[in-house]
Amino acid sequence: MDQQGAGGDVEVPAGLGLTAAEYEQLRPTVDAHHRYAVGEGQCSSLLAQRIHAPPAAVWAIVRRFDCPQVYKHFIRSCAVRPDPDAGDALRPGRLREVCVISGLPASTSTERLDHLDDAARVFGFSITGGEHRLRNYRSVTTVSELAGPGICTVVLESYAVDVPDGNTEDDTRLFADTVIRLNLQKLKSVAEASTSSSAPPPPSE
Amino acid sequence: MVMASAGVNVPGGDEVRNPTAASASTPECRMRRRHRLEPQGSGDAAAAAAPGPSWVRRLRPAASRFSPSPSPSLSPSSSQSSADRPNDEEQEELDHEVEVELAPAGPQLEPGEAEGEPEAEAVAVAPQVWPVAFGSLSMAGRMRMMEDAVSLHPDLCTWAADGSPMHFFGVFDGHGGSHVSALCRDRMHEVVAEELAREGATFLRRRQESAASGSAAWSERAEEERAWRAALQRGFRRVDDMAALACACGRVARPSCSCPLAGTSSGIVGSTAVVALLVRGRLVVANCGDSRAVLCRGPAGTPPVPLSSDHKPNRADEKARIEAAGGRVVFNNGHRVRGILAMSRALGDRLLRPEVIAEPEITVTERTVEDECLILASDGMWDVISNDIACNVARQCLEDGNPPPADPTAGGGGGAPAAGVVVVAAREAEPRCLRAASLLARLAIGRETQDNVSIVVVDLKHRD
Repeated sequence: MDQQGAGGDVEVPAGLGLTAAEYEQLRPTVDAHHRYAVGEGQCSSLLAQRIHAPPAAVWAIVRRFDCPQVYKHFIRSCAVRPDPDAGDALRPGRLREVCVISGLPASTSTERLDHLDDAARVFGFSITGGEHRLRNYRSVTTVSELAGPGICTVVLESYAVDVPDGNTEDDTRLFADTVIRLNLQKLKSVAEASTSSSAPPPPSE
Repeated sequence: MVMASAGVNVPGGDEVRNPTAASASTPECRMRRRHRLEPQGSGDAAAAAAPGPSWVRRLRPAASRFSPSPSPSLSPSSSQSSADRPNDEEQEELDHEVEVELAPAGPQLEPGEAEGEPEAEAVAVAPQVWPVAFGSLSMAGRMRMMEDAVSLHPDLCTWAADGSPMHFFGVFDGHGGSHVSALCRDRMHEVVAEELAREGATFLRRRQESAASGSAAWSERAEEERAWRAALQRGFRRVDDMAALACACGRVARPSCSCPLAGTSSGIVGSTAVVALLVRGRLVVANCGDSRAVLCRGPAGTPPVPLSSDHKPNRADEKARIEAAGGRVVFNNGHRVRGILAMSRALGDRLLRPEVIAEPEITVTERTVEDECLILASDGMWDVISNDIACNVARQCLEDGNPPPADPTAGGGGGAPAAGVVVVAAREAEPRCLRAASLLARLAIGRETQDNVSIVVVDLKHRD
C-alpha cells in the first residue's frame, strides 16, 4: 500500500504494480470504467500492465474483437457471428464464438461486444454462453498513456464474475487473474515487438 | 526351429487360468472406481453407473498386490499358437551369457527402491527368456483434435554392461496443442538413448574402478538402476528444455521461430509422458503427468500392479509441493494448478512454472514368468476404464487363440466415432497386441471418454 503525503492520501490497490503518482493519473479512468456494483456471490478485480509502446499501437491490438488470439492465450479459434445489419463493422451487440485449447476447464465461450470507444480507448465484453464456469462475466479493458519520461502505456483490465458453487472468492479471483495476467503479458510482448521492428529486438523475457 | 522353440519354454507355462473370474477388490478400490466392475466383454454396453469425478482415482507407488486368485480354476487354458520370433532366440543367447556373468552378483535390489514386492530369485534350470511383443492404437475421441502421440522403439539400443537389448515404449498426451507431444514422440527415444550410452560408459568406468580397488560395496543391480534412472531423468529434462523452444510448426530452435504460426502459439502447451524401458528382466517406467503404466501380472482375477502414479494436483504430496512453490490448487471442473491445468507435472507449460515441473517419477520392477502384459495409456482411457478391466481385457485378447470380435458394437447413445484412428505400424507389431489395444480403445470411446485415447500393449509372455 503506497501512501502519498502531499495533496491527500492516495491508496493504490494492492498487487497492481503501479506507483501512487501513476495511479493518480489513471484514477479518472478507473472511476469511469473499472467500477462494478458487486453483489453477494460475486467478485471483481483490476489488473494493470505497463507497455513500452505507443498507446495507439496497443489499442489497435486490444480492440480486435474479431481476433483476440493475437494477444490472448488459450484460444484455438474465434469466429464472429454474421450480422446482416452490421456487415463487417465491430459495434456493441456483436457476438463471437471462442474455442478454447484443450486441457483447460472450458471448451467454448460465447462473448458479446459491449463497448468499443476508439476515442477513449475503452473495450468491454461480457460472456453470454459456452461451456465454462464463468457466469455473468463482464470485463473492461482501457488503454491509457502516462505522462512522464519515455513512452509508457498502461493497460487496465477489470472484471466482475459470479463465484461458482464450491469455490471461494479467492479461488475465483486467482483463476481469472492468472488468465488475465498471462494475456496482458502476451499483449506487452506482441505490442512491443510490433513497434520495435525498426529497432534492435528487445531482450527476451 | 523345434529345438529353439523348446528352449524358450519356461517352467509354469502350463499354469491353469480362469479368464472369467471376477477380480478381487478392496472396498477402497471399489469406492474409487468410476464404474462398477463389469465382466469381460463389457465393451458391448456403456457403463450404467453414474459417472464420478475421474480425478478421484489416485495411484501411488506401493507394494505389489499380487496374490493367487481366490477362486482357483479347474478349466484348461486356451491353446495358443504363435510364430517363433527371431528376437527371442537372440535374447535367449544374450541372457544366458548375462546369467553366467551375474552369478556371483550381490543381493537383489534394496527394498523400497523399486515398486513391487521383491521376488525371490529362482534357481535357473533353463536360461531366462524375456519376450517382448507390442501393439498400439490411438483415437481422437469426441470433439477434440488429436494431440496424443505414441513412440514404439523395440531394440532402441543396447545396455553397455552386457549388450542386452533395451526396448522403449512411450505414450504422450498433449494439451493446448500437439507440438509438445509430437516433439516427445520424435525426440524422447533419441535423447534417452544418448543418455543411456553416456550412463553406460560411466557405469563401466565405475565398475572397473570398483574392481581395481577391491571394494566390496559395488552392487551391480543397484548401480544399473541408478544409471537408468539418471538417463531417464536427464532425457526428460532435455526434452522439456526443447519444448520451451518448440514452435507450433514443429521447429525447435533459438532464436524463436518467425513463421506465421509462431504468434498463434499459446503459452500453455505441454504433454504428459509415460515411458517404459524393458531391459533383461526389468521394467523401468518413468512418468510425468497423468498418463499411466500398469502391469498385468498373474492369472485372471489377479490385481494389476500400477507402475506409475498419476500426477494430479490434489495428490497430497504434489499439492504440498505446489503450495511450497507459491502456487495453489483450485477446483475448476477438477482440481487444477491455479484453476487452469489438471495435472501437476508435464513437459512444456512454461507459463505455469514453478508449480508444474517436468521431473519424472521412476519405478523399477522385476519381471516374473507370471507377467502377462504391460499397458501404457493416456488418461482418455484410464478415466473410463479401471486398471482391473483393462488388464482383464488385454489378458483375454493375448491368451485366446480365437480373439474376441474385432469390432464390438459400442453402446451408450449410438455408435462410437472411429474418426482419427491411427494404427502405429512398426516392425514386430503383434496382431494380438494390436487387437487388445483396439478393443480397449473402442471400449473407452463407447464409455464416452471426452479425451484422446492412446494405448500401447506390450506382451510379456512367450506365446506359442
